[in-house]
Amino acid sequence: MHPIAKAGLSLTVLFTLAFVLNNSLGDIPPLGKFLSPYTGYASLVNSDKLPSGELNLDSLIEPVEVVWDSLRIPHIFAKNEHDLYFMQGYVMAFDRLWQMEFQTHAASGRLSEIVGEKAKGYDQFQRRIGMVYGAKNTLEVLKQDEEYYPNLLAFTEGINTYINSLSIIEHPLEYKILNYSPELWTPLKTCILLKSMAWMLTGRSTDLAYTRIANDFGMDALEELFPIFPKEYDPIIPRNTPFNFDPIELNAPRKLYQSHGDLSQFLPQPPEAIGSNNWAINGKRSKSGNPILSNDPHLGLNLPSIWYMMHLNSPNLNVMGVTIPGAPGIILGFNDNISWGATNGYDDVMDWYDITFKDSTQSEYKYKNKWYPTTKVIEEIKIKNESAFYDTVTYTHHGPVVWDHLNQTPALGKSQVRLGVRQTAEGRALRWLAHDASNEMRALYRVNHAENYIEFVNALETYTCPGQNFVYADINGNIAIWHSGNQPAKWDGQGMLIMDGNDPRYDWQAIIPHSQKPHILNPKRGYVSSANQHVTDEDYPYFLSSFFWMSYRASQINQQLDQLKSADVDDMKQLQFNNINGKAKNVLPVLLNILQSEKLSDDANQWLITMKDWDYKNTKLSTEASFFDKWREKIEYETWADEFGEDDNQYLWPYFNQLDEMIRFQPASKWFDNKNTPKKETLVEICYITFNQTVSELNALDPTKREWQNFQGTDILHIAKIPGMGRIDLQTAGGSDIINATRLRQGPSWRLVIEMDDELLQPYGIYPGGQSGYPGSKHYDDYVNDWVDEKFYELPFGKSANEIEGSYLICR
Amino acid sequence: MQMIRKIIALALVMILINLVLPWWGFILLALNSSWVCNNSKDSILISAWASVLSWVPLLIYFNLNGGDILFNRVSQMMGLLHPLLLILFSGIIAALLGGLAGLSGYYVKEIFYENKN
Repeated sequence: MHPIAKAGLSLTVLFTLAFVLNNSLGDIPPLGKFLSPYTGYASLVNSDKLPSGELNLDSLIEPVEVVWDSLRIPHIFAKNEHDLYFMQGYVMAFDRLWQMEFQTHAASGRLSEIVGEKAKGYDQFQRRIGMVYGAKNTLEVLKQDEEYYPNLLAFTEGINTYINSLSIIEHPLEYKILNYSPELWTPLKTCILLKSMAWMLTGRSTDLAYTRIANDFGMDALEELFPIFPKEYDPIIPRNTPFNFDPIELNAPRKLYQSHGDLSQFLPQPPEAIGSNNWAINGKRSKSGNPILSNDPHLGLNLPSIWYMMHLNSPNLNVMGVTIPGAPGIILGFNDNISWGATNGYDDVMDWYDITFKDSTQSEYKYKNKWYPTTKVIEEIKIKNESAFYDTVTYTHHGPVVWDHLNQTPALGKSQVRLGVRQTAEGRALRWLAHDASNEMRALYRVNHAENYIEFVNALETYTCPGQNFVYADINGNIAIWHSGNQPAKWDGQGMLIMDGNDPRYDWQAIIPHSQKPHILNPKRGYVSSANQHVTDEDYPYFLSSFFWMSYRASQINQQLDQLKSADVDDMKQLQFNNINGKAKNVLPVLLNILQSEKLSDDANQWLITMKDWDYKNTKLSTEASFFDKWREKIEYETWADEFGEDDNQYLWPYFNQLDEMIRFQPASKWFDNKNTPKKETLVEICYITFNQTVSELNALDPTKREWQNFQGTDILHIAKIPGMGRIDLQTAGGSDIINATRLRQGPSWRLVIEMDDELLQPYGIYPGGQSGYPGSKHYDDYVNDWVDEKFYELPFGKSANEIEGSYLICR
Repeated sequence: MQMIRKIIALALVMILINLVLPWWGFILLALNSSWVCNNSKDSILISAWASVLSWVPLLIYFNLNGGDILFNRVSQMMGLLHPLLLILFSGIIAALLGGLAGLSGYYVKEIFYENKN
């Protein structure tokens, strides 16, 4: 070979190889860059080391002190609010920069920029549901808020000061794995984060499923199987509480509009019973006479954790608790005078409207039988290594038309469509409360500052979405719950089915006035509680939702609280770990009573005895819990699959409380009959078939695999599902519809118990994660084992930096 | 002996240049190693070993000084089971790039020799 050719060939191979190793290949990081000890992951070793001594930050007006305690909770002591929020942004970014950026990218439909084409469908969906549209509306309101907006700007400046202080080599690990760089923070990004929280908590929409059931099985079946108020429920505002106000008059249609059925195959069942608990007891029930508040919001569990603990102090503020990385202030926590927590409210604030367009250009739509112009928004979806994709979204006054064509985004697989929102049909507009201009940040800011009940209630007035049941306790002995959020005032059943976009009577006609929102202060029974169940009984004049979680957790909490006469903090902690399975307690005696031992095999008889002796607790070592869970699943399948489809994507299967009632009170219900067989089945046949199936399935398992901690267990995956960065096979107790609502991928994402002692607050908390977002840090997941072991940490709190022990930093 | 000295000298320069240039800086040096080598085999060996020396000891140092959790997680992510395998794999990448650069550099040098003859 000619020498020049030889050299040319060799150099080509070399440069190609170097080029390849400088870029990501699919999911593989850019190996050269990533493995090099100078620029790659290894250069981040010890990057979690806390700054100490003195730090110069030009933007600060006065010096700020930061102390990180042994739990790595930052305690920030500033002399003015600008400096406080600036430092909050800076410190938060120091621990969680990648997470906060990634979450906003994901929420705003910009993942394709990072991971390429495969996220296009997801991005398109995020854009089309109007996430950024809502965030921009909210930002406009914030900009008018002269008191609050400067704080958000200071917070943003703090984050950006940290970002600008980093060289490329110092970019957090995930940037190196995914091969991109952080961009500067903006107030809009914070708004997007809060809207994505709204999506997570109000994105459950069953309008299409209910419409289909009404169309195919009749309204009677829908009302029977999905009653708005089931026979048994235990509302947050106790029954027979009077509602003394004149409700807004609403104009309801006489005959309900019937939407046409859709051909879509995609309608996944929402995950079962994730939610949250909160309660507070007052002096009547506590040993010390002080109120005690408890809260554990159950969310999807990830690493880095959704929550970040902080303590913020300035001359007129002293507040501690958790917030979402990227959001200023404290979302759930306590200050010197009050404490508060939240459970999801489950109001139906996501409605769908059939739209009639004048023609296929979708430039005019029919409303009040006249043609009105639509607005078109062009979404540019940038895709890594490819040309951008442009998508035109049509907006009506209701909101965006989410789907233009059937199966518009095939890339968005069934499992990724969250909570059945995929309302596939040409021309159907989404009205979602989170689209509205709202000022939740101001509400939380005022809650952080609130010194008493009145200030707390006033603060919640601008809190719009996601609606929450806020529990409250203060050092003056008050306890309360407010079902907050600026929910639409709806006529009975409004928005349960897909509505007529032409008829204004289907529009949201008003917002429920603040004073008319369900709330309760210092009830006679000495406690308040909520667990995502029905908010009120049927006497409340507005329709809130066709769905609340069944009262299993709520009833259990109330039963336990009823028995406590002089409770202390430990009793409250213990109640959070209560594992009583309310479903099993209701149905198991009936089911086991059906089974006659002479008709069962020896193996089955053994299980029958075991199950009869069960104390209904989903403890770690319980095999009965595993048996019941499997059995329940099979009974549900045998009951509903023949009518509502095998893989529950055609319709929605009725919730378990419906089956619970049928088992106890209607064993001959027609729904038990398998319509695919000529024989007429009742609960008895189903009971035998499913029991025997469960026996053989459980007996086929290795004995340790039958233990509940291994049968269910918990996996906490990395947010971007990067392998090796999560914690899997955690041996946990609890389960869905149990107070200790720990499941495979969801569970108590934050636990707080606090005694409101006016001398000295006693706060205890934990979350399944760690403060550092850096996977190489021991503080990345150092709370996880204690969380699994059902422990709480005592949270250090005080009024000045010298009251907190830990690593000290002064910033000037 | 002389070869080892060359390897160490080259590795030291590579370490210095890596502090300034992007990760591929050491490849530029490996390309020029041929000027101190008499045959292609030496050129490959010297460049490859120097590249390995500029990466691996540092990786081992990081692993032992606060990097154990990180190295564990990254090796799991890459399906390499153990941090030692991760370091070995990194060494192979460095050797491959360095060796190939050494060879390419030597071929380039040959062009000049040919012209002189």
